[in-house]
Amino acid sequence: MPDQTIDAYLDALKAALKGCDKALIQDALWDAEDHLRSELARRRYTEPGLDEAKALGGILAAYGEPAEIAAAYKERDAIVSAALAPLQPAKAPAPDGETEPAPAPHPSFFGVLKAPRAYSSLLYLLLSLATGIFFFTWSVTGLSLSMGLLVLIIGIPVLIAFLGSIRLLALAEGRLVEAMLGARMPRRQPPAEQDGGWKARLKSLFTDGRTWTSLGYLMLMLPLGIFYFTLMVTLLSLSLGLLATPVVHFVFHEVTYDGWAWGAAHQNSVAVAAGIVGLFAVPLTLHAALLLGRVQAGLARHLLVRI
Amino acid sequence: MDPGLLDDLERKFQKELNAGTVALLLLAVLAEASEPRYAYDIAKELEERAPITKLGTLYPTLRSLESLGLLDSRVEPSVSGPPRKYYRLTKDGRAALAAWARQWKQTSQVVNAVLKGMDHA
Repeated sequence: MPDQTIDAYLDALKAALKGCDKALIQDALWDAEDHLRSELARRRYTEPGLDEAKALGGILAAYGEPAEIAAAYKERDAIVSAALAPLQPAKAPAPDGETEPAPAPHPSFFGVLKAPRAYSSLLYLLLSLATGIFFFTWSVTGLSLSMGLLVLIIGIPVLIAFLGSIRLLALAEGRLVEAMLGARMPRRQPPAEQDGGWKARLKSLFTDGRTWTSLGYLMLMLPLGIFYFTLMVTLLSLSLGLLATPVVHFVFHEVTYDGWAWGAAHQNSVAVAAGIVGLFAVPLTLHAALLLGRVQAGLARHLLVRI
Repeated sequence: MDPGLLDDLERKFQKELNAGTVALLLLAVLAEASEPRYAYDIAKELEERAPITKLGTLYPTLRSLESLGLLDSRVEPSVSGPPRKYYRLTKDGRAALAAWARQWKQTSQVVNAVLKGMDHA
């Protein structure tokens, strides 16, 4: 069975990539599977009566030994990270003049103000309410629609289309997570089962654990989005409000102290104190965004990436 | 010398040589194309025109060229099978190709000239 041999090759490749970044492994497996299946399909089409086992041997040999291909992926990833690394400190030099260590360095307390990742994480967290509402609505509508219609025949295609859409949404969310939170996520869809026809494809849609963990993730995004959004809006408005207090007080003379006698008596010191607290609260907010973003990226990698 | 070691050395030499040339070839093939091409298609063309490397190593190179901003890509559904990823050269990619090709011509000329001397000797 040629199918088994492709699978055996993929298993060997997976074994050779053991210990690498999960998303890198997934990319490598997708590339290999896509190429091998496309090539086998083309040969079958151009050469009727093909000896498949023999052809596959040649195709695998042309693709390269699993160990060699695994080494190429590892090397390429290292080259890209190395090539991109010098660009990062050039844009945002580490505050204490040191070069930042490679694995997700956490910026210093005020250094976070210059870290683009902190702002993009903040934006992601604010956006997560909107995406969460959309994902949740889509999931619940699709699920209940297909479940409800399942008693009629029409429910089956609806369910299939719905599960297919879950995979697409998971991929889109993955791209968003990679762009804004900086966690490496899969860059393309897993190739569909090409051998075995539509039955095998359908079966894989249901038996693939990633379909269901993705669905769970998308539904989880609503409560998480509400939490992230509320927390970030609160922190952001509080810290910016505190920071703006001295400006409003000294420049515009607009601060009012209704019902706070001590504050009204010491307006200048209250405004200065609020400004100082705000000076610390703004970086704290950004740190919180970075940390929450990291947690969210971990969750996404756990539920959206399948090996 | 042990023939096994000699083979290993040759493989290593080939690999190091390929590290740069494969990227150059990929950029060149994409520069020729008037429209974006997908990875498998590019791999097939290189297999025919420049069989210097295992096809499996082309894919990580394509990905790395993309992450470096020399290529960009879009995913499009295909009539048969899974969606395909189409690559095309970016402006930076064109600039890199011009510089690398110049580099390559210079290097190959110099190396060929020296090797020619070896043949005459």
